[in-house]
Amino acid sequence: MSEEEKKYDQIEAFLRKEMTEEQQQDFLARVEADPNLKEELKLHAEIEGVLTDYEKFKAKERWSKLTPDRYELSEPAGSAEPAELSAETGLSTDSSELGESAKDTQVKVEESKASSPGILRRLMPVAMAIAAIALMFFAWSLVNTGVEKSAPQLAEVYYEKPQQLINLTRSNNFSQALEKVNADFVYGEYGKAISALIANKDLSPRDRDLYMGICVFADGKAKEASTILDPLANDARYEKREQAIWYLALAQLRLDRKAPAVKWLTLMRDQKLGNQKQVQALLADLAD
Amino acid sequence: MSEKLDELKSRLLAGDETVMDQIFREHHEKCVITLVSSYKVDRPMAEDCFMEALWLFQRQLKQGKLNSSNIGGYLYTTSKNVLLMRKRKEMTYVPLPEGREEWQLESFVHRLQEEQVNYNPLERKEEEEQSGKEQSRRHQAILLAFEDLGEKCKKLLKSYLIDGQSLKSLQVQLGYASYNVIKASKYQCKKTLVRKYGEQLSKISR
Repeated sequence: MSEEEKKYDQIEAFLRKEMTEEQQQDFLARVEADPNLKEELKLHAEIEGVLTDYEKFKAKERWSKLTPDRYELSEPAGSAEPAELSAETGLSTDSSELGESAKDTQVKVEESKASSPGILRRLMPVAMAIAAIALMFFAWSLVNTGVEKSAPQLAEVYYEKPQQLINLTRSNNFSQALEKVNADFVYGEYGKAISALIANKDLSPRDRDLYMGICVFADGKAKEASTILDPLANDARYEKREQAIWYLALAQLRLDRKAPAVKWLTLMRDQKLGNQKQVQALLADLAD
Repeated sequence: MSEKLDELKSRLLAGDETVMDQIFREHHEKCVITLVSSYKVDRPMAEDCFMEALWLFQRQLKQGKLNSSNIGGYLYTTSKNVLLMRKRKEMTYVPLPEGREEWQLESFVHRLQEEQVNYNPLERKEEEEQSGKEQSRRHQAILLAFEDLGEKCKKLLKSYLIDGQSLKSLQVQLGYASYNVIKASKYQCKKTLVRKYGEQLSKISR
């Protein structure tokens, strides 16, 4: 066994806590005395940590897809009414599009539907439609009466998921190799999209970082997205800089950092970068 | 290990991911609701603690270290411990050793004064940003280097480093001729990973 192999074994035994107390003390004393060994130990620990975190991230992402929607309402067996209702009124019966009170109303309606026969049962779809219309009107009036939105809320309003990435890749010499990334992104499989990006050798490091930043942002990690996108936004020679700046600004908003977001958006406006209509609308909303 | 756990372990080691999905579906809701109501935490936090516990369960199952077949009990206790540990971290409190409060306090005040004299917020921010970028580059290089390995190496290192399985069990599971062969392979794979990491890091930094 070579010296290096022995060293690897000892580092692994230490990290896996397979050493006795005495061996551990001895090893730590050597680490303190030898800066190279210390660096090597740090590297091995970092490799294990990063790989473990990445696998854990992928596992959690997979499991989070299995999380039942708390507000999802099961249709009573044999009832075709919700589908009929949506067909008749043109209203969606998808509870995710309604507010929580709408869902509560729906629960109550579903409950009473199961127990009340005759005329009440026939009136239920009408009541549901009225409740849904009232709630939609209420939501619409909130949006249109200028109720002030917080910076993180604005980030969600202006983030177009996931069309932005598709447009972005199409408008910039759409590469076949990015198809998988897009497919995973569309279905919200951000972990897989990131893996596909990492494995993609055709992309330039900066493009890979850009797409990775967007994936990470879409996955709700605004801080990490900022770290990835910041160097790209600061690089005046980068041809997709406007995209990096836009997503960086949204990430800053999600972190409730209004000032840097406004700074980046102002730069976009002044230098006519990106979709000016969108930039100016967001700046106006932020000024309110 | 009980028969039930043995069966789950063999399915998991054979690459059947639905094992964990099934366990998730069986225990998720009850565990999360109990955590939310007992510890007054928000649902996303409870969900994350549950997934953390599920990850640990998966790891221990692969290592053959589980004794109890009460999966629900294991998951709830582990989720609870993860949650309490996170709460403790949030309000880190370092008790002072008896009789040394004054000395500790003095030195703390002194250090704080020194820090205030030398404190330059701009410099500090720049330093933090630099180290954050540096760290992100290193992490990216590690992931790229790992992706660049051959499938056999990836499988071996993943099972050994991430799942924490022993080389002895992996020898049988992955079909290596002897313990010495798998040990040598593991060393070669790790060495290649470290070399590729260096290459990726210099590519990224360029």
